[in-house]
Amino acid sequence: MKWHNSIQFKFAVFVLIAIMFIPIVMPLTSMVTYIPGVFIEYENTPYEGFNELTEMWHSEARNLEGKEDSKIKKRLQELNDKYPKSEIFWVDHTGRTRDTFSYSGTLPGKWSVPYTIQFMKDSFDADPYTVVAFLGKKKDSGFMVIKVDRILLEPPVQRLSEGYNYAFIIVFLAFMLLFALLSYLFIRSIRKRLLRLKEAMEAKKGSGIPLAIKISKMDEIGQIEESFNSMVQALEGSRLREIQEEKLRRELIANLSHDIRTPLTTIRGHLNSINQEIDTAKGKAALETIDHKIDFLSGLIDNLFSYTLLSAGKYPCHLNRVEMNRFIREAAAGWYPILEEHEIEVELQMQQQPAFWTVDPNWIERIIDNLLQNVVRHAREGKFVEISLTDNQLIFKDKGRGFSQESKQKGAGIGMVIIDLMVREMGLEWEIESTGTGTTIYIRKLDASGSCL
Amino acid sequence: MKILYLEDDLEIGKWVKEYLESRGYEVDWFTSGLHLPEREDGYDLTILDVMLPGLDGFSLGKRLKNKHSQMPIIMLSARSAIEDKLEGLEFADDYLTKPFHAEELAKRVEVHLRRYDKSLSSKLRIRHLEIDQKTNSIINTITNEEIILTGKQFQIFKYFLRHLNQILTKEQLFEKVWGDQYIEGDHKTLMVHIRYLREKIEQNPSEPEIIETIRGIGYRVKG
Repeated sequence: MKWHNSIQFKFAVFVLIAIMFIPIVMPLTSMVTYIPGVFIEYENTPYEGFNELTEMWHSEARNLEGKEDSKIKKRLQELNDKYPKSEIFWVDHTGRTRDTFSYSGTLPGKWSVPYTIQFMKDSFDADPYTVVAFLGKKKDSGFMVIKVDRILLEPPVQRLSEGYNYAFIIVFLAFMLLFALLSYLFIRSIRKRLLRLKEAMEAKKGSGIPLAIKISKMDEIGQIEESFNSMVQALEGSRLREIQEEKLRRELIANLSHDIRTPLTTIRGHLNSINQEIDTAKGKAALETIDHKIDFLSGLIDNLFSYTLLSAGKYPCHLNRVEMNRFIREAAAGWYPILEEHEIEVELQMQQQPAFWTVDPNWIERIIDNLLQNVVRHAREGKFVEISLTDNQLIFKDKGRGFSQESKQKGAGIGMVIIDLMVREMGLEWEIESTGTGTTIYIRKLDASGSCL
Repeated sequence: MKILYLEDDLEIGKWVKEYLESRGYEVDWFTSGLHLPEREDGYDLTILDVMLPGLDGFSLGKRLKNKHSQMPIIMLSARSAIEDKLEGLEFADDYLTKPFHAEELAKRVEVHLRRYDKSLSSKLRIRHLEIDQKTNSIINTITNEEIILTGKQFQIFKYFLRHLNQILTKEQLFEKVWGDQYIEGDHKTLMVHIRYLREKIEQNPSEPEIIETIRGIGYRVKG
């Protein structure tokens, strides 16, 4: 970043301008206002100054010495044309007023001595500026007079100042406005870029990580943008690593599961062969127990791995709107043959109206599986299970010997822990009521349900 | 009936092959999917293990299904994660997790062969009915008369036959047969059709033996 690009530098420049505003802008305004005027006006006026006019008038008068009246008249006419707004007349050697040019006042036909003195007194240092010149060197050959408004003879700057006072104020205001505008633009551009950065931070892609931003300028905000981008990159990287890790973990668990299930399958295969060799009732019963234990072990493996994933937060919950009547009916249809095999009567109490719950269907299925598994394993002697759905609860009721009895058999434990984790994570609530004659489990939808924790 | 069977575990492979052969199937068993390509024609059903050396079961299954859409595929897997099941069922007809019972596998093989009209005999017997799946005729073996069903009744009955031993919920039945989204009032329509169907095929329609009612859940036809 170059020093002159920094916001700090720019801000310092603005402060400096603000402090120096009057001392710098006043002369600046004068320069801008007058200099063009001075140059332009010089070219357009025949008047150059008081002295110049006096000299010109005397030299003209000398030149007209002894000339005929008509020549004098003609020359004075020319001068009147050359100097606009001038008033000219001449008086001959007899004291008679001769020709007047653009003269606005009244003149006597014959100049008396008192009048002449009065005229000279009035004209001295007065406005209009008056020049009186004798025609020639001799004082008795008459005189000629020119009167010009003083303003026309002042130096140009002076002459302009009246009309240009307004211009001065306007230019001064213009400078002030320009300064205000520049400050505004400066602040606005910073504000805009900050807002853009804020929006970029808030906007998220599907992964929940903001997108990188285009770097606008290499100043302090540009540096923030740069850091922001490297942060986004770091987040992206860690998310990818996390996905990678999750995949590896799942892979590992799938492999472990495979490694345990394969020998279990082999055991079952051999069990099958033995079954054909053994005829005694006791032997058959033992084989059946082994067979049940294989299922038990395999279920345990499932639960163990699910628990590992769940507790590590690697079994994400994906909520959906699920029609529970239909969902439970289908789950029950899947379980019916197993329950039937164990002579467990199934009673379903669904609702007439569609009941939508916002849950993860895979998780709900898992919960139902675990609960019915428990009924088959630990409440078989009740020979009954009722699943009912009310407005906001899902109820599982069996007539087994109750939970206190069941919990003595390890294995129910992890299944229940998984149910507990899943229920709570989906924002539901559950409760177990267990007596010696049966267990009832309530899963409740709360008002706050509908989002993963 | 020829079954293509892929399994890398030798003990399980031997056991399943022997069991299925004892049930009258001809079983070709391979331990990997690498040597298959030219020989996969002419099988009626494939049983596929998911974790195979070389090509994995999912890819192999998808390839087989693309080539032979009429060949049922049963996936056999030690992976029990729901994701794996769902991935498998995208192309496979069934998914069985290890450790499985050989009887269950044999039962499912039978059901899938029947679904694709490939069972050992085209004649199926359910209690007093004899159903010829080729000609779609249903004979009452007691009176030796043919039972004529209406279009919807036949569709319902056929759907039961394709899913023998499976409990079908009223939603599933209605949506498959009528092809409409199930709404609550549709239950009556279905009940009426099933009553008429029972009147035609059951010996005593008030105590049905063929189409069982599973209270609160649905209906089932046992094979």
